[in-house]
Amino acid sequence: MIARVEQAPLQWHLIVTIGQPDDPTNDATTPWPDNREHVDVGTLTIDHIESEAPGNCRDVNFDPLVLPFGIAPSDDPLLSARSAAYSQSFTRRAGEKKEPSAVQTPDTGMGK
Amino acid sequence: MFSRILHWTMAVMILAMLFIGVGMVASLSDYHWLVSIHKPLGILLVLVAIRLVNRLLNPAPSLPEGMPAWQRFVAHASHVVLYALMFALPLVGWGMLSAARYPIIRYGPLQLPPILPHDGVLYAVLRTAHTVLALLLFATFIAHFSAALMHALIYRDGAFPSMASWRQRRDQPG
Repeated sequence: MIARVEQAPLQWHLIVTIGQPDDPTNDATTPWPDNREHVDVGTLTIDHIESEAPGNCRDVNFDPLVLPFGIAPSDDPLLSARSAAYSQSFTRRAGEKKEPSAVQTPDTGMGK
Repeated sequence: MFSRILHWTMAVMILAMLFIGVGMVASLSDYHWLVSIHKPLGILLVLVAIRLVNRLLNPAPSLPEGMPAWQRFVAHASHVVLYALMFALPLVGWGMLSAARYPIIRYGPLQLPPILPHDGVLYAVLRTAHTVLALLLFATFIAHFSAALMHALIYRDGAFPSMASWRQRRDQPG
């Protein structure tokens, strides 16, 4: 991925699928019908890569249930399970001795 | 009367807090709603501050006469430990969430400010301390509860009704 980003930026579309009232939101294994409306709400562009580092992403827990005011979680039980597991792994990770990142990128050099 | 309301309200909240605490760290699908009850209950910090002031203004009734010195010492020491832990646990909880930069107790758009710098190692240490102190509080609670039952059922010396009875306490307690 580091090599590919050096050649050209990588892009992904953020597609929102609009559900209908009876579509299941509490079971991620049940797909919604194919004919639901899809909206392309944005493009994620990655033009450079940074390895883990303080102030970057290392000391943060990406918890799917830490949400800004105004956004509510669905009743998907996976969210709570992920929140629990991420909290546990973050706590263990936070207490470890900090080493320079195992992955180094040309952008960041040695353990920025 | 105010002291008793405070005592029993906090007793229920603290016990709930302890059991929700051990329950939430062991659960997956119930984790989120248990956490969302556990964190706002940190309001106990305000209650314990009110309680300490109340205790200083209205000293506790004296212990029953004829109580051995070592029991008096244990009674006072256990109260000091209980107060210390009632302050320490919510403060450590607040501190550890601050060090990890988690949002802290949200009432709608309002949330508490962080009280410690963003520091992973500090968070990990405080997180462990939170568990250890909680277990210590539970042990102290058991001791406190056992002593209360001992006074109520074995000694029958008036120490128990001074907190458990809803009647106004007599002018000459004990």
